[in-house]
Amino acid sequence: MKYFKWISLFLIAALAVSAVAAKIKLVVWCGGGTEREGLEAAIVEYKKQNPDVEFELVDVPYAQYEQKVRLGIMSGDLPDLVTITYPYAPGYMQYMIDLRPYIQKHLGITPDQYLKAMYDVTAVRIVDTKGEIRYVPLHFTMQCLWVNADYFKKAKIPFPPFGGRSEPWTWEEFVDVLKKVKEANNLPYAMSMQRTAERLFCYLGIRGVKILDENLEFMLDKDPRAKQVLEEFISLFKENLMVPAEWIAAQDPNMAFTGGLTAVLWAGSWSTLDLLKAEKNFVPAYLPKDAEWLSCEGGRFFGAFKTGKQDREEAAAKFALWIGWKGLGYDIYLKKTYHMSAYKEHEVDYDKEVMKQVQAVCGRLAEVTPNWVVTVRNSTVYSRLQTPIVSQMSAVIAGQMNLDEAIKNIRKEYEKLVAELGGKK
Amino acid sequence: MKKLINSRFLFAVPALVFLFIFVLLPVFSVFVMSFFSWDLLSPPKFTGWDNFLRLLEDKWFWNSIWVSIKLLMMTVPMCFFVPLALAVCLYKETTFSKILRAFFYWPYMMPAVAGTTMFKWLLSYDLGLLNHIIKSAGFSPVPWLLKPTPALFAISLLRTWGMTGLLMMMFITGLQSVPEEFHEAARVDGANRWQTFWYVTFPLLKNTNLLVLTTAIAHVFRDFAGVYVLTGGGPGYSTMVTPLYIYNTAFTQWRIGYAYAMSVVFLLVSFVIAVVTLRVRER
Repeated sequence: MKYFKWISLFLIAALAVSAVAAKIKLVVWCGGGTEREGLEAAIVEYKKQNPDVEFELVDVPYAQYEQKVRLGIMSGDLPDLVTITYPYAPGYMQYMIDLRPYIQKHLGITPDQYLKAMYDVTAVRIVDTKGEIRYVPLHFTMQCLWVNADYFKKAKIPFPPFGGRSEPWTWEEFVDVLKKVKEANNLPYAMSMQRTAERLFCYLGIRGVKILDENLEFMLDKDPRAKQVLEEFISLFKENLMVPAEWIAAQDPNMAFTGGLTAVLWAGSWSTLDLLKAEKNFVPAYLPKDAEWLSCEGGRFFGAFKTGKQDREEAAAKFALWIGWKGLGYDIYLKKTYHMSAYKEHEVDYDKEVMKQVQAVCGRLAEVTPNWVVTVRNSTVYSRLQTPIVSQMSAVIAGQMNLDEAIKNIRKEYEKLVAELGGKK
Repeated sequence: MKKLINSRFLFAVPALVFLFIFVLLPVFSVFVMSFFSWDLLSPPKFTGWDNFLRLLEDKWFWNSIWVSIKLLMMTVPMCFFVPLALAVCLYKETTFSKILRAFFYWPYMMPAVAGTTMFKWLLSYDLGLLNHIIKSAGFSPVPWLLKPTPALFAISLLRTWGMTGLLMMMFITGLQSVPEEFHEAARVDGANRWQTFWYVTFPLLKNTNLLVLTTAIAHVFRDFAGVYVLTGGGPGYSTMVTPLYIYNTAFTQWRIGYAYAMSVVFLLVSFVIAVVTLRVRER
């Protein structure tokens, strides 16, 4: 009897240990802040449905994120799951597991149905050259305008689509609107825009000019319209329609917009949370339409690394698909982070009315954006050309250099990069 | 004797191992990797002297070296004389001087990014406090960060503000070690305060001066965070110091091998400056 008691205790302990051992612990690298909060909220729900999975969320500071991922890949010290910012997504595809076999198994739909459910620009981002699906969208962003509705009301100017106008402005109309809203409200400037190559890419794309074409050929010195369109961009600063400090000294554009110095912010869906905090009457609006109507997409993707451990890869893929699919964990994540959905006709029950407007404006822009906008920006040569583009344009706006010289310098950088990469890729 | 030498060597071993692993080995690896092309993702490819040849034609790199030297020339005199003046005023042990020392040392304790962000707000053309005051006084606002020279001056000012506390403490230590008898003898000989300082105290601070100079040069030359946050290298390339240019090449363009080659050249330039400084000081 005495021995029976000890044996029972031993068996119970062994059972408890084996139960813990049977649990799979998935390590997830993520950016901190709202991304972590969104993941945590989704994980709580997921664990209720899958008590056999544990998670370890590792915050990686944004500035060191890509270094850590790259060093992890080089050393083989990898997490099961990782969030990746869009420009880096193509580079890591080969290290991610193909999610196609799991889509049918866990979502009950075909990979093709899966891709068709999302905006084309997102689908292009997550599929590799062999047609394998390497990521799920974690959050999706589109560039759009934000307008200070009070300033527009005072200037009696309608704005699209929630300010009394349905169609986007043409570029000419847009510049005229900037002048009028500035004058009516006695503002020092009309529009804020962050100093990035991505904003410039979007502006040029709308005006019908490409920095690189679909064959990754440098176009700014070949396209006869490029110089004129760039000069018009620079004149926006000279006329004080845009804030020179934002492009010369990298001043945060949110400062001027939320501070009431500008009436329009050329930013995107990702700005929602920050702008909500300002508690002002900010409304998303369409980007203008000129030769083209387009926007630039971005955001973060979620992928499962090839770790060589079958059970962990299976668990990681299952979780990735759950958190990246509409109606499942994706909704929890989006509601927490105030990001828009990457899926067409996907209604998320946000507690802020403005998110419906963001989804409508940015969703429409996602629909009209052609795929070349993604494929060109997916290239290594464009990704590496971004820093020289920004520096050269900043120098032109500061009056240190003329536009011809800047274009020549960017061409030189482009040629150097192509030579270094061994081709246009 | 042999035993003594052996035991001395043994005591130095931990420090030497530390030095080898964390200083010599990384420097050596920088030299080796400067001959490779590497994006931190695919395996490094040996490219011989390619990176260095490319560097010779990279005018923005040489521009960054020149900007770094200009910044050095603007900042080091301020980093030397401002702390010296403060140290002379505050080296005596009174309650008031202790409070002021803590006050001036405080910026050095502040994280570089926090201090720089504060400066950025202060110097903003449209929203900055400084321009607000200037405008209130009826003058035109100053484009602190929008023109090359004021932007470089702003960085220089920021660096001086951040370093003054540390360098002042070095000078105070030096001043307190000067025997009071020397001052008394000078006074007896009829020297005034300025003469006492210039002919007695200052020459006795020779070693402290050297320490302050080398510390200031090292801090200014390798400054990254201040420039990154305050101007991002702008306007254009006018405040693009070499550490920032190397960072952009390595971690926004992922041209790691090329960035290593830049680091090697920058190391050599730093070495030349250090040698020149020491020689000038010796004379």
